[in-house]
Amino acid sequence: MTKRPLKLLPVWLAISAVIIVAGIILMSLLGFNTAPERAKSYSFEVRYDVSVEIDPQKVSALEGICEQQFEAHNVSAAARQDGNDVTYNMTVITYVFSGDTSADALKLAKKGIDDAIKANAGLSEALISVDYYELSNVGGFAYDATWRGALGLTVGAIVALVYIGIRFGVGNAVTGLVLCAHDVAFTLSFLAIARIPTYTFAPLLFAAIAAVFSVVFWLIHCAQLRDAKKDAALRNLPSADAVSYAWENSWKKILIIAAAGIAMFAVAGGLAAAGVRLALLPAMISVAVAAYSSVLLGPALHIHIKGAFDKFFAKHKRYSGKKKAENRAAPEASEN
Amino acid sequence: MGKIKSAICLVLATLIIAALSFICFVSLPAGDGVSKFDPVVTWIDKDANLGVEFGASGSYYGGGYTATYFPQGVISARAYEDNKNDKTGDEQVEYANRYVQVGGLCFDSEEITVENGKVTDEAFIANFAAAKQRLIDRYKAMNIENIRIETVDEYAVRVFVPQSPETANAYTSLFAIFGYMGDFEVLYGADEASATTVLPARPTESIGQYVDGASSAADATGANFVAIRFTDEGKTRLASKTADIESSGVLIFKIGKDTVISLTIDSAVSDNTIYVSNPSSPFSKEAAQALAVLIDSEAKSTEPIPDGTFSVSYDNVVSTRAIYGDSALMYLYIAFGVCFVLMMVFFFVRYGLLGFVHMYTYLAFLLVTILCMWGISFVSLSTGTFAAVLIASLLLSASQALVYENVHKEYKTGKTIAASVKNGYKKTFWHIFDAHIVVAALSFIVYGIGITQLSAFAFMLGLATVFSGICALGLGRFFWAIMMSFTDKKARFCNFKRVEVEEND
Repeated sequence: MTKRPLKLLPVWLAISAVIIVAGIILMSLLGFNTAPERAKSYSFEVRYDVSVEIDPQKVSALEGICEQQFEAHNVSAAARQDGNDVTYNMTVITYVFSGDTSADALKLAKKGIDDAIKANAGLSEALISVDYYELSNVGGFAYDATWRGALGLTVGAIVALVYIGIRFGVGNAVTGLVLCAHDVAFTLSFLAIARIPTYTFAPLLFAAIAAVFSVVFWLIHCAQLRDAKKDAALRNLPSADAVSYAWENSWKKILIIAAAGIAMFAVAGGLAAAGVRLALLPAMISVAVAAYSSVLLGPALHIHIKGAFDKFFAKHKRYSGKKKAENRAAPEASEN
Repeated sequence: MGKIKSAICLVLATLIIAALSFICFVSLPAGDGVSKFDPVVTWIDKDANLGVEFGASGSYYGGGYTATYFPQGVISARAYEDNKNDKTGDEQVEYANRYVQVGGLCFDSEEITVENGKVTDEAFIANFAAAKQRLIDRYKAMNIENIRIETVDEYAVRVFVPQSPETANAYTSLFAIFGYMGDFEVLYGADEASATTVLPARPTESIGQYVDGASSAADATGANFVAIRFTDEGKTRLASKTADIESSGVLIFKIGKDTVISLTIDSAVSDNTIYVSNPSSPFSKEAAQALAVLIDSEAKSTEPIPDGTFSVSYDNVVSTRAIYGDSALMYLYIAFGVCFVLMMVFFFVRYGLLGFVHMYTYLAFLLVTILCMWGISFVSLSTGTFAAVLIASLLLSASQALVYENVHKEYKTGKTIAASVKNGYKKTFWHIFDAHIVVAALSFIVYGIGITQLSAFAFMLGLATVFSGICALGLGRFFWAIMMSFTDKKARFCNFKRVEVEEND
């Protein structure tokens, strides 16, 4: 008997279609939320000439002045990067402000810092410089990586599914290919719709993770289908019942592995530094999407695809049998 | 397997795993009180964004180098202040009057027109746009991961190049040569002083007619070289110009006023390709690639800079710490450790002492993976490769759990443990094999076609999946066999239960 989730193909298709269509529209209009790449930002640079004077306490005093002035002018840095001017041997502290920070407030903060340095007898004004710049990220470096990555994923998925086709039958390969494409599209769409902040390279990485989990989860389902075929009692089940049997034996396994995968990325992403977190936590979406499609959408869809292929092969078999019978009959007739 | 043989195998396996773990993870003082023996994990190349102290001298922290290119006539406000303070009296006033500050940049009013705080000099704007595009194209062609290019206050270009232990000093030549602007010419003469332009033949022609492009590679001995390809027209012209060579001559490749390559030749040019190497001071891979990219970008450039003498320069290089922070890698190690502990807790709770089998199998997988990451030159530890190792670890753990569950199922049907293990592996072999072969094939194909982060992720996933498959199907069973032979209560060892409590294996 067909299980209830497998009868809800229109529901799963509708959910996927809505997400993917909305995602494609958002991707083409707005792209992904690549805020961490900072398309526009302000770089506030404080340099201290350490070749003339090395005093960590003075560097700390300088940091204190900067932070005090930022607070006084209601601006807060999105990131701070420490560096060293290797040409002139200077300590460089760079405060990075997001693009929507008020340029006037930064101008006032700079003036405040300059005045505070002048007023601080312990700091030598001549050894310190404070500048800020407006930066626009040129970007566009991911173009080659994106199309080559997408091509690689497509070819890789096709080869993997050719293997599935040889081992488990063409019907399984067709459903697997549909699911793999669906999982990649769904993952990217979800990233675009939820506006999850990500690095430029990351969406393709999440797509690849979705493809890998999709193929593995679908293999679990295929293995159960093959086991059913080996069992004499189950061999002649109609396609809906066979898929239903495989679903019953595979959905728990898929969900347990998916839960372990999600927990793994949650722990790794949760404990990682802020920048790394953006590249690890969204991988949970890839795993969840692959689990959804392999447990709900895939089997529901496969009932129809398997049915169509079974019908085709049965027809083909009858045709061959008829042909063979005719071939056998022809020599007999000529002999007579 | 007998108990004695099993004991020998187990002791050997334990010793090997312990020794490899020691080599891979433990840092020891060398005895002189100053230096120390670094474990293999320290020597694995790391992504520049992940900060942690490592490398031979312990001086590398990730991060990279930043340089800002200023077009001619433009300096930073800081440089302007420094220059002004170096002058006194009228000279200082004159200098101050000459420059106009817009944002963080100062423009020389004798060269660039600035009106009401806006640059209105059309020629300068066009020259800068072309020079900026040239810079972007050159850096883009280098295919460096995590490279970042930004426009600074509209009329300067800032480039961040991440460093790795191998390319720690490559940045200086990259920043310098990629800043060369102007017409690309090939000169020939008996010596550098007497060399005259031979390509392009006429000022109205483009160099692309004569130079097809350039690429870099390494020969069989590992020496890096630059291959400069000429068109048939270029080869014919060079051949005719160098035909009168006596003992030696000099072929110079110049961009603007800067010499890119000065090459001594001892015979006339007769081939379409010239291979340039430097035996006395061999090119690094990055230096050869940078030279090739520079020549290639000039040969293929279709939009010349309107003013052939327009130049850009950078005044200083800033070394910056890792973008993700100084302790990013340490946090990743902690995260990995927590995942490992959680995985082991699950296996020990669910399968009892069989958890040791999984622990040995997993450690073998992990150690081989770490040694490969260290041994394979193009693999580095990044967020992507870390995720790949996590996924392969999950694949191995899921495969092991699948085997254990199937063996448990067999055991519940009344079979002995030995028969259950045999049947369990038999039933799951092809499931595990299929999953691993499919993931490995997909990964290696993505690695072959993709570039940068995705390619690194895919390669690591493919490699780790192969190890996972070998460990799940071979090593795991071996460890199970040798460990289980020590106990008479095999079912209790595996934490397997069935209705009949009798256990006579």
